[in-house]
Amino acid sequence: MAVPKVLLADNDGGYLSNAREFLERRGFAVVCACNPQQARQLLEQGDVAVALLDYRLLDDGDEHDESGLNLARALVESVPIPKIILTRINDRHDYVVKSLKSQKDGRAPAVDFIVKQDGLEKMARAVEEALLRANVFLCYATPDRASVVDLYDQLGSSGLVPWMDHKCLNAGEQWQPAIRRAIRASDFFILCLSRNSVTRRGFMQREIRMALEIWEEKLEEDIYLIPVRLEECEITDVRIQVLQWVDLFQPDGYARLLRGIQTGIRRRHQLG
Amino acid sequence: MVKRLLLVAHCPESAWRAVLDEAARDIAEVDAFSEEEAFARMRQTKYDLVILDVVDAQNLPALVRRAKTQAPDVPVIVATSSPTSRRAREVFRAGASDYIRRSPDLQDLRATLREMLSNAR
Repeated sequence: MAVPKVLLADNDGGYLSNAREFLERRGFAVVCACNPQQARQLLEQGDVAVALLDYRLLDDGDEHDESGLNLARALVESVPIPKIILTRINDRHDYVVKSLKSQKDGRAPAVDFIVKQDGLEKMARAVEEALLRANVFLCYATPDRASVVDLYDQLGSSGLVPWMDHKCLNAGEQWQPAIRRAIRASDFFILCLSRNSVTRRGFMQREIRMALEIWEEKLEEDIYLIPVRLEECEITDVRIQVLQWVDLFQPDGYARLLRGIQTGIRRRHQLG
Repeated sequence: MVKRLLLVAHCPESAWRAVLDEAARDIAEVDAFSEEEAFARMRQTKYDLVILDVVDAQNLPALVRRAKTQAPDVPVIVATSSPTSRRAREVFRAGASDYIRRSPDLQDLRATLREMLSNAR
């Protein structure tokens, strides 16, 4: 059974060795890099689940060295896995801001920032937490927007990364390519169904088709497309009928959706 | 439409308030209130940006979460006179969009306000 693979990129050989051992005892598979080029090569292979990148990946003594951070910035879109920035430089709040503040495209280079002096346990917990993050695309009919905004907020509060056109498209952005990118980058596709949506033509149907194509590439055990009913309505699409849906209008609806997503995340890491 | 900025401050009429007013000139209207009143106002008024300038640093992550729960799509900036990396991490993880030093530099502050307000929906 495969285990999640973690990339550890640090030019400090001693720390690299200790951190690797600690993470392996924790049950992770670990690959190491001691410079940005090696780290990039390993990340671009596409099988790393989380990356830990030393802020000054070339030279700890050079206060202008931001090579680890720059690597995270460069790979925000092409390698959309959670990245954690590490440093032994204590109390540089500007490093934290540069690592965790969203860039112009709305994405931050990293999801977390760890000071090495805080210990290996804290580092390992940050990795575990990062692994439970997932991108969630919300597909819905425009008349249902208000309900879906509530769902968007709930998912965000649960530590997930939801995407909804109304919230995430920038002014002036071409929306069709942006939506396609968001669907391809998503770990889960939530199809929000209502009496408004089940007979709706238009771009929503295109989104569903894209999601079904992506779903065909998944393993049988994978959870990816999750239908949720916003109200009582009939599911007429035979392709969707085979999936277990969630009734969000029931008191335990959201909890069931969250459990499904969390199961999907864990299963994905186990299957590799 | 004029942008509205809410300053949540322990002391709404502090010296830094004057700096903020100047930095926001022609960019946004600034309302400043102490914590409880500010959150009450947020329920009535749609703000485009919230700045937290509170003395109790330990309470900052909770205040960020509270602001984000009340207005999830409004950016929250935390302003402090003594920034630390630990606190920066905490407020970003709580949902803050920026963490700045409370300084008299008008140009920097103006640039930050422009950036955050241009992202406001």
